[in-house]
Amino acid sequence: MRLMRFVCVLMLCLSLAMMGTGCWDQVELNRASMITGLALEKGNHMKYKVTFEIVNALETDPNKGGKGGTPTAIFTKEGNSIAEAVSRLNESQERYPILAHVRVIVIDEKLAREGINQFMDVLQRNRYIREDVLVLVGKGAPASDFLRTVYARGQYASYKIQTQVEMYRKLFGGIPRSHLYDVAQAILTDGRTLMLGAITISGELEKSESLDAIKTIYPVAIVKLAGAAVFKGDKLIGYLNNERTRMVMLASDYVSTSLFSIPGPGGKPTSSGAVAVQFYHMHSRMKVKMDGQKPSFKLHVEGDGKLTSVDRSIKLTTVKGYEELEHLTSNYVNEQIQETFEYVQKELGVDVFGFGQHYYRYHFQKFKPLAEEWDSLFTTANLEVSSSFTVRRPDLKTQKVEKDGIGP
Amino acid sequence: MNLDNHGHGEQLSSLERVKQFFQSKFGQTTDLAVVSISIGSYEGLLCYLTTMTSSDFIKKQVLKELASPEVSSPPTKEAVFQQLGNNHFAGLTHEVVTDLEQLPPKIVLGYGIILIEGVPMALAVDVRSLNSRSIEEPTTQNVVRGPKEGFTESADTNMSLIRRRFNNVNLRFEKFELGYMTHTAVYIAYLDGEVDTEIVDQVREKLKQSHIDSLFDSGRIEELLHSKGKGMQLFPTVYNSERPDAVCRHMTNKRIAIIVDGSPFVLVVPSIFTDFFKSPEDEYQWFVIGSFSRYLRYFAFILSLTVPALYIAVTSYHQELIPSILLTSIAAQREGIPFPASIEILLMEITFEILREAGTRMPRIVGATISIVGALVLGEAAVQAGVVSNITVIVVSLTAISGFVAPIYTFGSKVRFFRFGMIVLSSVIGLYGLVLGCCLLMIQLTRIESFGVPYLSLFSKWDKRSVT
Amino acid sequence: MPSKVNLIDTFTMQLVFLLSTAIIFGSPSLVPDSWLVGIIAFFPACLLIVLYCAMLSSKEDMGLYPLLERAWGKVIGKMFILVYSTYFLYIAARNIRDMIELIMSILLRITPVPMLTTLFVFVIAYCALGGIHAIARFASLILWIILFMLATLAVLLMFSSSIILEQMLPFLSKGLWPVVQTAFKHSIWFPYGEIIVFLVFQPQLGGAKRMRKVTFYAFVTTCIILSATDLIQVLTLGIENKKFSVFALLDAARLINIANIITRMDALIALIIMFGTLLKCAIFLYAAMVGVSRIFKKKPEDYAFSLAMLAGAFSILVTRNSAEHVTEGLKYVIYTLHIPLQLLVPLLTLILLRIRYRKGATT
Repeated sequence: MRLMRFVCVLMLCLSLAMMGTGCWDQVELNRASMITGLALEKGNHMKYKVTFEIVNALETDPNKGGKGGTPTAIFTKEGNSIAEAVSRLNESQERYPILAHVRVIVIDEKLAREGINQFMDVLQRNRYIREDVLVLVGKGAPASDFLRTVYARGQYASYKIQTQVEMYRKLFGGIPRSHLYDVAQAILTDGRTLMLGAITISGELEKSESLDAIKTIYPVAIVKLAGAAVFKGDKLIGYLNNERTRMVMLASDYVSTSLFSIPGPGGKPTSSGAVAVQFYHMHSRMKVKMDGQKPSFKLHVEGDGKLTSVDRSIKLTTVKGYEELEHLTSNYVNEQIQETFEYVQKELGVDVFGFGQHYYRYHFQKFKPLAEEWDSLFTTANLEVSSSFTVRRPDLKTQKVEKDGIGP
Repeated sequence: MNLDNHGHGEQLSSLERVKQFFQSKFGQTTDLAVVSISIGSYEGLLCYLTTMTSSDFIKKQVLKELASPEVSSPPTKEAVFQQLGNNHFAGLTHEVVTDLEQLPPKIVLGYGIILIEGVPMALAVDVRSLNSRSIEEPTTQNVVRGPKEGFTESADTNMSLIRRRFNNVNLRFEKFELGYMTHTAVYIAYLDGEVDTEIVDQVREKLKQSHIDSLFDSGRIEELLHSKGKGMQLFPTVYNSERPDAVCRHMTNKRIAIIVDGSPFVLVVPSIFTDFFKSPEDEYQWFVIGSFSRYLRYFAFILSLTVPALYIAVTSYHQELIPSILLTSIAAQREGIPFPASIEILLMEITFEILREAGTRMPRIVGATISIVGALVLGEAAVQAGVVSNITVIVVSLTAISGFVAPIYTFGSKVRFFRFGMIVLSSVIGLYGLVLGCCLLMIQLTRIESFGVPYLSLFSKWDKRSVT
Repeated sequence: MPSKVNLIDTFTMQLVFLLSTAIIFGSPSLVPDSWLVGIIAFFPACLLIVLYCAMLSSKEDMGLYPLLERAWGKVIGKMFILVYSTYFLYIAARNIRDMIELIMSILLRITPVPMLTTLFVFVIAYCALGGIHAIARFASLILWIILFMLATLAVLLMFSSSIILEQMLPFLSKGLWPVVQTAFKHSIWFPYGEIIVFLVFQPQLGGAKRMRKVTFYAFVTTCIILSATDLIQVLTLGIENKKFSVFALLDAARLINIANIITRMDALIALIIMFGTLLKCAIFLYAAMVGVSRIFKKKPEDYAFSLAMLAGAFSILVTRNSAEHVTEGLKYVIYTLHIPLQLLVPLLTLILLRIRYRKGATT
């Protein structure tokens, strides 16, 4: 019992001592500000120019409504490293910067062309930056501009961009998974090149910085998703548009839900007779083998879904009707993937599909000697695509609603 | 003690001397009735405390018997005395006393003393008839489904409530007297053959060795029964209940019940951690619902311990642990609040404690005022004025409600005490402090032993009969 | 005759003891197929059980310290007891350091380490004061928490589709040899070999017969759980990425993201490691207390706080930075402490006991 009392007294002294000397790690929320977005550019005077999007929490709260100010404030700081820029943020603002809620990191195109590995480390090492923060490449505009767009929903730009990217990827698949974690993964794994999401701005940015911009029905400037930015090593070498990105992602089994619009008999996307099919559970499998010095890839895509629109008379009461639909889809997807593959081979020359990665994983011993020259081997490879799609149901109508005509 | 040992019987045979003796013992107390009566043809004396019985009882049970014709017919005094004991008061507890000194304690206990002039013996008849509360529904442990009887202040009633549930010869009651001022009757009840005799011995020993002056509620001996030595007594190790069914349920699980005269709360020892989360109702329902609500109680217990501390830790130390959207909305509410989160929580917690204390102590009629002042002025207005944030009010009220989920009130009140400790720890070093606090509590819980029974042990269930 | 600890409590205590720090610090990151290491290390580790049990049963289940005295004589035996006590205290100190390193890299930044250590050490001492029974009961609580957290982690990772089976490939890209090598160099001694501390409490735990069974099951379960967590780390992080992690399980937990609401489960890891380290250190501390009290003839309880403070001080002073800490742990501790004290001394003791015992039997 005496011992207990001793412990109690000791504990009491300790806690008093701690209270007296202060709570070292304490960061009060009303004395801190959340950084939600980072934009990285080349600096004018120093190595990097970092733009911070800082949330003005009161303005984002729909209940309190705030005072009609902007939901975010943008600060720009230069530094020879990103960490330096962050720690110099308080030159401009008064609160403790919380980095833990960064949602989007936009990398400027110019910086990306020089290589991103030089600054990735600080992002990966910092424990406050989440592994699933989006790393995007700003195409066609300085990176900081992306954080300057005000959006009608009252939320800050990076929140909008993040949900937009995730939703788009989930529903359509036209943008690669580009989390911070994926960057490390792609750079580290052999036989795979890095692809990051690309975003671009359309509209007039100058007007968009002010809150007046959201008082119009049509957004003055808006951030759009623009497919993938393709890297070689850690340097940006080119872009893929949304359609091709989708095919690449489909081939590497990242897309499970998407919609294909198959052109009519005319062959052009605009010609009549188009069919749209929505697929839900798509999967792809790849096989890689070496034919002498040339790799040969096999890709099989499968999925099931439903018909969403049809502009030609396919009878969906018969099995044949479905078979026709499936055949059409298969052909279309095979063609598109093939086309994308050839485009990538010719224009980019890097293995964005991850065939090499597959070879590395499943045939490590065979891949080992080829690892260095894989990208050049990739450009000579040929791809064989097969697909089997199942259309399950026609939704509400058995066929296109049109007059059959009375007759024999 | 009178030095003249032979004289006692003779003293009893002289009514005058008895009267004098009582006079000297009881002094001028007004509730002592010393009535001269005639039993048959003999002169007799009836003594009792009017405060321990009712005139109705004396009239119907005693005087009527004394006046009945059989009493008068036998010839000798001794025979009459014998007959009184054997025939007339056979239905009441009675005792033949031969020592004058033994009479006052009997009278104090509510016995009536009948003496016959010339007979060296006294007949002590239990004439106790006290006005006690009738059996009502318990106030502290309510059930929706289940027996509505509750213990009363009368130990006799309480024992009968228990006995009524055990039609079993193995049920034992043992009587102890505690308190040298009050001589309060304390009974222990157990099922012979079920309980560990060692534990019964320990309880007996503890009750016998108690040195207390007075005992008005079982809460007093709860302290006494706490096991000493193994750490501080931060958790209750004595279960108390107002419900006979709950107590009986425990008695079937090797427990000993302790009934204190004058207290409607019957104690149960040894009690372990899980007992305090069991409500008797759990067993009267479909077992799924029963166990669901039991686990809900554990959950609420954990909530009421940790939520405010967790809130502080997370908002002022580890902002990265909250989802961004939630953090934004918390931040929006905290905007412009003058205090740090920890001070804010402490303020509100203390306010709540004051409210609770006022609510339980204050007369029921004024009770409504408290809720108005509490809810409107302190809750609504404080938020409106920007002194505290909405989220703090939510956190505090959530913990407050969770704190009351524990079926046993004493348990809930101890939890409240730890909550403050947790708040202090987490406002000093965040989650680390909170976890250390939790560790301390868990260590404490596992260290306690109640009568040699581990207080919290997940794998060795002491009261499960299957384990040898 | 001290009362025996419940069988299941003994098992859980050993299990938590083995798992606690090994879950995070145990997986060797230098080999690609680290999850195999645990499985391979399991078999030679079982030989250790055989050795320890043989030692115990040779002299009526007396516990490590009395056995040492019996085997080596009073003076040398006492020296060995002191060596073992110091050894246990040192491992406790290392574990505290491990935990503090983790806490400083997940939860806190500025709070001075001595403060954290002091607080932690007090809790350890308080835990050890309760004796082996209370520690065992505490362990059963901890076990549920740890298992629950691990299961939550696995389920959440699964739901956030971070577990990709392909990532464990290429399998055995560097061959089997490095794996076996690490198993022998590292995993046998930590965590499995550390079970030697339970020899100290043997009379209360039930002697050789019980230990053989219980410890074996504890080893099997540990092996399964450790390999599973290792596998989870590999499957979420990938073989390539895991190499770069200081705390691989932590990095895996950081990948959890379910609908942007359930994110950042770092804290779970902190909880696991804090609870586990607490228990482990309490056991080591208690063993050291028993040892010291045997030499200086006082009650073990008298040493709790002083030894705990000593362990805390050790943990801070022993190395300057985490690299030094890790190299010390991977190289010097294994060769100069683990192998001699976990294998050689018990082996010699066993031989001595056998010889003496036989002598005693013939005379």
